[in-house]
Amino acid sequence: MTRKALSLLLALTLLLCSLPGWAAGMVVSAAVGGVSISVDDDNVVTSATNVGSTLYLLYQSGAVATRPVDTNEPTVLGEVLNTQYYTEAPQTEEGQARMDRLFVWDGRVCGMCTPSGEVWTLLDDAGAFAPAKVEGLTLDTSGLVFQEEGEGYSVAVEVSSFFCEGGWLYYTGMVYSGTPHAVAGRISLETGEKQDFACQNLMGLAPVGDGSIMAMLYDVSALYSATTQADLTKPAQYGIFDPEKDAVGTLADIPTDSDMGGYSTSGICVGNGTLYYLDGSRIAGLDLTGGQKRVSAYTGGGMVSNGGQALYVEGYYVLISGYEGLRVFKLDPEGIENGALTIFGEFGSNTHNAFVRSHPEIAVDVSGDYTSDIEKLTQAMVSDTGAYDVLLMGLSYMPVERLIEKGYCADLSQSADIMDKVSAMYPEMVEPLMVDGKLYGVPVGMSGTCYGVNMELWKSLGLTEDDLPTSVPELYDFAANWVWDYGEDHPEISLFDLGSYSSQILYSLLLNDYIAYMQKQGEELVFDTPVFRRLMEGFSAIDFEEILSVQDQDKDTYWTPDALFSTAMSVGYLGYQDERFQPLYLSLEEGGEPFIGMSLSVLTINPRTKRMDEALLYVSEYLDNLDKTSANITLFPDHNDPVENDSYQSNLEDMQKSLAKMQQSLENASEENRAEIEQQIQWQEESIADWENYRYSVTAEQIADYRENVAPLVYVIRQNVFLNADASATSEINKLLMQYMEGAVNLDSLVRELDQRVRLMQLEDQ
Amino acid sequence: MFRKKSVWLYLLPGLLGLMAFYLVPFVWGVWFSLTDGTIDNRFVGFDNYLRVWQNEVFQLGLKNTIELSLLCAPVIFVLSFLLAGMLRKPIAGSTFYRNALLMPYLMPSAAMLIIWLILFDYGGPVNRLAVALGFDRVFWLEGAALRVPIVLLYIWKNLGFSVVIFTAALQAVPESLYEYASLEGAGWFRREWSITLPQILPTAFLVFVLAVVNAFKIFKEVYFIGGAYPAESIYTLQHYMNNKFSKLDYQDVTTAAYSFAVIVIALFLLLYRTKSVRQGEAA
Repeated sequence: MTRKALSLLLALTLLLCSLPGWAAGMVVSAAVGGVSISVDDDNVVTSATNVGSTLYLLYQSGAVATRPVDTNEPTVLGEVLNTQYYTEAPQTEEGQARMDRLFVWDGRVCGMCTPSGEVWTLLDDAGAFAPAKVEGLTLDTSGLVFQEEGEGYSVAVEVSSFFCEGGWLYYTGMVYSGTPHAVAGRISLETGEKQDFACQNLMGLAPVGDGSIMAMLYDVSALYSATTQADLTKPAQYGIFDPEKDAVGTLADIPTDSDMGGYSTSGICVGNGTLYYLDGSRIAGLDLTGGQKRVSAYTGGGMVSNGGQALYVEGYYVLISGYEGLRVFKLDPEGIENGALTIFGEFGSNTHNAFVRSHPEIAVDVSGDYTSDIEKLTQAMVSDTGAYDVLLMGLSYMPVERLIEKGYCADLSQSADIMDKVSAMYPEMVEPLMVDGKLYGVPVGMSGTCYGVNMELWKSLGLTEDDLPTSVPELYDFAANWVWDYGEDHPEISLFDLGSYSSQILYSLLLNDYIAYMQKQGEELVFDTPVFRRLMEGFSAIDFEEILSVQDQDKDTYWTPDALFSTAMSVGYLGYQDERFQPLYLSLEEGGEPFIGMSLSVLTINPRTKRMDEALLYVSEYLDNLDKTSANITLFPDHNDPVENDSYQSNLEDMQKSLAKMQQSLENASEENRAEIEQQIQWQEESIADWENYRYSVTAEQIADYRENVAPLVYVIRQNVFLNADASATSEINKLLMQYMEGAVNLDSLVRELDQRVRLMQLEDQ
Repeated sequence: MFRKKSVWLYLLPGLLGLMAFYLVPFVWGVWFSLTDGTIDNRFVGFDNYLRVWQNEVFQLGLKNTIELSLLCAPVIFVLSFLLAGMLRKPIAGSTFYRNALLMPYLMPSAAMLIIWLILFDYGGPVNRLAVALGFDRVFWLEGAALRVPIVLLYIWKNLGFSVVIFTAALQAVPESLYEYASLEGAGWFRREWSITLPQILPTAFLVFVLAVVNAFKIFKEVYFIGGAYPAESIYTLQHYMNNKFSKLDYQDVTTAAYSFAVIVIALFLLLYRTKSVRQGEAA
């Protein structure tokens, strides 16, 4: 086989192995020319266009499919080479279509290859899939590829608009290399010539339908430059763009509900006399005649929009964005004026998105507010418009218990389904949310940190496991003596992992751990105890400045590669373990029992919600889709199955397919190429064998280790007087502690003042 | 008739504002104090009052507030009366002194507090003077000792206003009465007690009431120095209400406020009765 074919084979292998793992879903397959192509339900669409109500989709794999806009039933037409991430034209076989952008030109579905400037038609006159290159036409696509001056590489522009109008291809996008900036221009489909638009801040263009072009302007330069004075909170603006004059006509503001102004506005398209756009997590419709803005659809996503390209297709908003690919929303459906199931506290997690995807019939919105202020929360829950229906809150830093006490959390005991799921959890996770036998919230996540030690470095100091500190005071003593004992002789080792921030982190941990300790003991919070005094004496003996002075590490560096101790090893996220460190579970007093204070995330339902059934369904399905590598294991004692890597199966299949092709090519290989192919086969077999090591993101051993060594130490931190107190009260506590650290007050004064304040706080709450 | 009706028209905006910002909230507040504060806001009668009055911290705040008021108000009253009497005489610079006394009243509290913090700092002038006189240094800005600078600050700030009121009232007392009294052999104290005070009784009553009521509002200065949870000796009722408000305990806030209002009204009535009796005796 020729070298050219071998290169092609290798390129295909690399391409297939680099594909992201996709969630299992409905698979539609088609066999074209003997090669099986499949598009997963969650496959990433990278470009789309439409003819009438029919969408034409280009997938990342190169599959081309079509589907009606109102049903999710794609039909694969064929395959091309998707050149989306290519900055140079790849080598292909003669006649193989390659493209990365679809558009409609004079009624014909076409594709453009950015690296080469080629234009291909996709369908023949009968409508069958038959890609054909438009001869004699090469487009100047240099506006879509950015090359930094003096640099040997180029980057693709992040395109935000791309369409054909009046024989021109229009585009806008952002370049994120160097100083990020917006680009806009058009390419003639007659001559191939490019015209860059000098009009400033063109962030989006869209065809109006009557030959004119709508433009969206927003100055985003202040995000990337300290010298510009652009006001990022101002709304974006729209107006009719004249490409001949390279100017926008009368401008008007695009109204937004976001505090981030025009930054949250993206994905414009025009249809039905309305300008549609993404306004954070909602699709807004701005009547171009009357100027009224309305909510036309809810995406259910997080407030900060990922943006993307948008198409208006006969009453639907078609969005192609990033790794989410294709999303289709019906605009202005019946009942939209009634609002949506509003979730507070969600950022658009996978768990949340699973509900949104599986229930397109339920409008879901995420609030853009992430306050922990109890007054704002309660006001938002009784508001007539946009009231929160479901709230995701952290038990240790939000007033959950007070909300339960005040009746702002619905009794979830009414749902047998939720009660059944919750009964399978660790009882100590649920207990904080039970009052008089009724359940007012469900745990949905848990997080905490512990100390960690780099055993390799520890042993390099001549120390053994027996020398490891078993309590926090012992750790402090080690740190206090570090410089004299080891620091001066080992400047290459940083004592703590957070450099100059270590003192703040340790101090914060000290206070939080002590409060959790007292809670765990079942005692009232007082500071005049031997435990606290010992902690404060130990902490104040550490000279952090001196420690930093003997280290090689730059004081301004946040992350230290060679740190002896970690102060914030994540506990509860089994899918991610910092392998440099071994967890160090320390007690708060010498000879005491270690524990790990964990913060619980909970879901509650507003008792005044008008969507109780939907809210209960949301909560129930949320529990079914918890993060498999963390909450699903840490909350449920019986969930012990190892968690397979999402991309394991798909990557394994791809690797096996490549191996099969290599073995097939070996059969026909000439003598001179045989050895090379055999070598590649061997490498591929080793890769497949090695891939087995990456099968599980959480192994059975990790789960067993968690159950045996970590779960018994977990303590769920409850709310305390500091959380219930005014923010100024907690800052007073911090001020007192800092005064002690600076030597302005002694330890006796400190504990006296702290106890007096805490006593007042506790008595007030009685 | 037409004039009377038009008077109401002119008064209407003000009356509406009074209703909207005073009367309605007042009545609504009473309702708040009788409910349980949950999302359904159920009526619970006087349960809140019973609970709040039994709260140790509420009692502490009330006690401290009354103590501070009873300490500050008489001092203000007596000092301002004496100073006004001194400034009544046409001495050189009396206008300047009067203005100087009034200046603290006009200054922003935050600016004054900075001065006070410097003065009473552990290494500040007050402690240095104490050391020079053979005493130990004191942590004036912490603990129970914080009462001293707070009281002094309050007196210093509010003295001038009372002096101005007294000065105006003293101007109206006929000089001839003092001449007659002097001729009769009355000393200074007798003249002030038998002539001045009865003549300016309504003004004296006003000054005393203002001093008491303003002393109840001593919270601002204490909060700036001592924070939301200061030493127990200066934890006032306003601290209790302020902290409860931030925790969404509106029921406790209104309960405490109305309880306090009843005490203030009772005190006012007592003072008013005393004044009336005194006025009667004088007549």
